[in-house]
Amino acid sequence: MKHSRTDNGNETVLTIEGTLDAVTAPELRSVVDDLVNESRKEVTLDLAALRLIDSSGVGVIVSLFKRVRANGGQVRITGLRDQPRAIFRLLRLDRVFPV
Amino acid sequence: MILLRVPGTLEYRNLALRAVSEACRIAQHDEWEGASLEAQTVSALGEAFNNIAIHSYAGRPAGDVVVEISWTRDEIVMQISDDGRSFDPELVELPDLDALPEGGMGLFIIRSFMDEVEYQAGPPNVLRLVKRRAARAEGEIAPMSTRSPARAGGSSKLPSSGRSGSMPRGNADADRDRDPSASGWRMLAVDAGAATSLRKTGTAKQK
Repeated sequence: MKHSRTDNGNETVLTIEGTLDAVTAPELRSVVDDLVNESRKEVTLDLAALRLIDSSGVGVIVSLFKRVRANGGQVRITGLRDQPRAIFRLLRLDRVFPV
Repeated sequence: MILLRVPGTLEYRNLALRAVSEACRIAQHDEWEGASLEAQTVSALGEAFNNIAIHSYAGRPAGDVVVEISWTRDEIVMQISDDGRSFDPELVELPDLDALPEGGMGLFIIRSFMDEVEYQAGPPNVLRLVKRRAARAEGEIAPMSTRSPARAGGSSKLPSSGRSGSMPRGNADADRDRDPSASGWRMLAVDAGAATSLRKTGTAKQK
């Protein structure tokens, strides 16, 4: 997994590439902690290059969503496709996140 | 058929996923449902592998995971075996998706994407997953059944030791329609002579 973060005013775009799974999810948790601790209010996850996600990866994204929302912000998702899209649809997350 | 034996640690997970991905390509199953077939089989195997690496071999030296993948024009079958700690499928609740769970979704993903899910507690523990060509309704999940080979006279597809369980697929919405009092899981226990099976049907809790 690769990830990159771009801040533009109040908005943060977090791009995640490759595989977000039980192996790589812990790495992303520290990024989530940073975003929450900095009280970022507008977070966009660019998942266009995310090839594979499992329940562990979903758990990190849901955690981000809950914590940012608790701070009065929101998380958007862009570029969802293929296997990650199938997982999001199954878990009904496509109804939760503005996609 | 693809037969793969790897250590039961997460670093070998992707190797197993690549194997089933390749099996989908060889079987030309993409003709079935586009990319969704591969997405579903890869997702299910990934969650099964996670469960073994994270739970089955937790607190003990990791043993091996044996992944056997076979296919026909009409189905793809994955059998995943390990020698770690077994679990009781009956105790695994379906997630409440409206509560936005951060865990406990693995078995739900497996059951949702597969047409047949059968678990036999070991050793070896054997999880058998079947994906069929037949179209399925959205929201339908695979039932899970448990059998005791010792009492049932053995299974033709599973090792004869230990308990086993199969999770047959059920339509949760239809089940609820038939039994308005049912919420979440519903268990049907069948003991027909020599054979004993436990069947669960249900879906994620909906509010």
